[in-house]
Amino acid sequence: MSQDLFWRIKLRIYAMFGKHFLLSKMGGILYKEELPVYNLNRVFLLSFGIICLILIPFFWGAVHFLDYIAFENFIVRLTSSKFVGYPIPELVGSSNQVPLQENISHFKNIFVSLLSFYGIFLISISYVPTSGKRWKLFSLSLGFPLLFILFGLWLKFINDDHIIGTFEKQQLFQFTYILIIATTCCFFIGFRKPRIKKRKKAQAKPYITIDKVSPAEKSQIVPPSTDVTLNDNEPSGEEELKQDSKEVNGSGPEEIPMTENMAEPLNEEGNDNQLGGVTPEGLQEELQESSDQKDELENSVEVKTEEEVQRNVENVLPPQEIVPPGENILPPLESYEPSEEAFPQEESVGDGSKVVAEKAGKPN
Amino acid sequence: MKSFISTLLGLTLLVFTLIILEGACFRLVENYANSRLEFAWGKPGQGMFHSVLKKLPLDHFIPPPSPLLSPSERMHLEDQYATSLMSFGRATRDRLQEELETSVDPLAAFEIKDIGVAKHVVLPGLQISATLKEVKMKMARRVGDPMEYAKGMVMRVVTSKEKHIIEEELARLETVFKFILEKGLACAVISASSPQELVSISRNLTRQNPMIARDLYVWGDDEAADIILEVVQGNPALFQTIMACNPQAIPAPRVKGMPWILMGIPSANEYNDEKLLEFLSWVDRGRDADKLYPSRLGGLLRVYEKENRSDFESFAIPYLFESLEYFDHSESPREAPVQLIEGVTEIGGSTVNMAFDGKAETAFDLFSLEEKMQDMEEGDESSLVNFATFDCEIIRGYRLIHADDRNLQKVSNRDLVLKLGLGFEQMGDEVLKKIGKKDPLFLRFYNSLSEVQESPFN
Repeated sequence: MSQDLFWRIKLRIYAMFGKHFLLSKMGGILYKEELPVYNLNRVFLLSFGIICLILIPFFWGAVHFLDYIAFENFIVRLTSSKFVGYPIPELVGSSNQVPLQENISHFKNIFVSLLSFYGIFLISISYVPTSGKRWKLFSLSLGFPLLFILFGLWLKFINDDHIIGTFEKQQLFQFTYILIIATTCCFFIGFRKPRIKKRKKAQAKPYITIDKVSPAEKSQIVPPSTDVTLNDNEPSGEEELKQDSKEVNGSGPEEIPMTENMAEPLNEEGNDNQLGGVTPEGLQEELQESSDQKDELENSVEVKTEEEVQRNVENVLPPQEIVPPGENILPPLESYEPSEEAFPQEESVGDGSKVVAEKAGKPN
Repeated sequence: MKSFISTLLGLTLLVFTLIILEGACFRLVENYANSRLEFAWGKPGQGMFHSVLKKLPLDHFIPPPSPLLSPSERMHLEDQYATSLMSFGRATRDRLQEELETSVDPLAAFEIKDIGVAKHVVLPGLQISATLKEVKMKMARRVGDPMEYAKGMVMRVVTSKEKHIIEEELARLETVFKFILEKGLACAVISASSPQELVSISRNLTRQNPMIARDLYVWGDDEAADIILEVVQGNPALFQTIMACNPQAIPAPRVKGMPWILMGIPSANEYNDEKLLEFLSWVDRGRDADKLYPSRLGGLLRVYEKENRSDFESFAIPYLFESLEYFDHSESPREAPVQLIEGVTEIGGSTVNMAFDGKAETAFDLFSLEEKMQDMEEGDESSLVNFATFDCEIIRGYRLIHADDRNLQKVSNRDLVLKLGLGFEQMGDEVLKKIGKKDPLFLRFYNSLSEVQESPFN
């Protein structure tokens, strides 16, 4: 019972940092349960959107009922200030010469429309299922207005009979540089293609050139290590998509077959190696367990014959593209000793006294 | 489809960015702005619209406002026209603004001396070697002696005789003068309380210092502007360019070949139609020229805010530079002003007046004539060019036969048409008719030229 509670707490902490569901292991069966979303960027967008919407009645109230002097002072200062030699009201479609009340009303309308647009927009995009899409929409929602502002100001400046001095020129160029950089960054994030496509492309032509290699070179090709291949539990692009769709559609706890690589909870990106920098102390036990499992795996590798290893390789690679292993591909089993560097975590996690004893027993 | 749309959007963005970049260069880079003007209009002395560029919606090609509009409407359009046409000068004005903000003791590098009646004339420091002509004119002692010269002289006219006012004005305009001096023009603040005084000072300067004050560019505000306009009324050939800010409504002389005129009118002032017509008549007279540059820039009207008079000053500087560039590049001196035929101008004037009274239908329709001329210009440019150069088959053939004759090369087509036509006429009417059948263009040229020759006004 206490074990289950620990799992739940641990995985809820994970969920706050990007995990969509928790996997709980009860009675030898792994359960997947959809979690309420505590994603950090979603929380940020949602709260920011709500703040924007909350500010709207503040503006209305400040202008119409509260006679808020600070706000009026702010508008007055804004009305009298200039940007690139243009009075600020002129840049937002008003004029310096209209009465102050009209200017205040104009600014209020602009603030309110901006706040309401971004408030609603941010709240809407916080409900977008994947984090990548959220950021893309957010950056595009900033990039396009910034680009329009940049082009708008330059078009106005080019067409107007508006003479500027040194200070205004500096202002104009600083504004332009900043907006170009900001817009480029926003568009880079907004239009960046997903990594899935790249992976699909990489998968489309696996090992095509291997047949063209000369026999002499073939003998030098080393097939991927069985350890790495067997433990390579990174989900492919398709798996990721499936996981995403499960995330969206699934609602209640769901029993799924247990495999070795599901020992860790998955985040929404499908990357099971990211813990978002969180290492709760309670994980110590789990790490001990996993180190034990690796020890077992290591022992099993030691027991395997060369034929078994080769069979494992054949299972991983497509059969027609397998290069027949030469004599030099694998070291003879007698000389195979797992190096200490292969499992550096053992020193920190495993039984230290045992390791010291083994080292002492080895002849130099 | 998605990729097509994204490609289209990308291309649009690219084109838009390029347009903005080009516009930014034109707006901010002085040399590029001047080069684009020259590319669009040709060299100042021999201007001609660029055949391809004129199809683009560039500032250089906007037509002047129609004279048939009501004066108040036209004044507004004239201001827009002047602003658009002078858009190439914004980079220069930016530089002037920077100079005004930053320069310290701007006239330190320039020599200031009294020349005759003109006190405190600032010289640009240009020098040339004296030729035999100058020695004969007793302007230099020996050939090769260095002589101080200027491309012209800018006279800032003030009406007050008080010394401190003149000095104040000089101190105020130091930076502007420095800007002008760098272009090779001498500058001075001149006190003149009457048109006669200004005429006398100007003539003395031109006569006694032809190396410095050969061309005079005059600039004045308020009463000084009135004096300048009155001087021009009587002596249109005295000045090259006049810049009059806030003058009284003075009737323009009925003369073709006026100096370049830039007129500034404060926006707050309310003028009636008659006064506005007077101002506009100056502008019209200024633009009444055969060459491209003066026909566009010769008369401009700028409306400025009364509290922001420096805006007019800033606008006037690139205008002054452009007029200097034009007169500097013109091979021939400015055409002598020609008195227009009183009757014709009256008819023209009455037509314009009647037009905005709505009674112009029966009178001479100037607007349709202008449209017709524009159609002709668009329709057949080559024939117009031929018409202007009197190029026809007979002339070409005659020149081909006498290709060795060097004297013939100096004779213009116009004179050749007259000479040959007269010869054919003397040989008999039939001969001329036969020639006319062979080359109708020649006969047309000859008839029109002989009519002009026989005109009592010629």
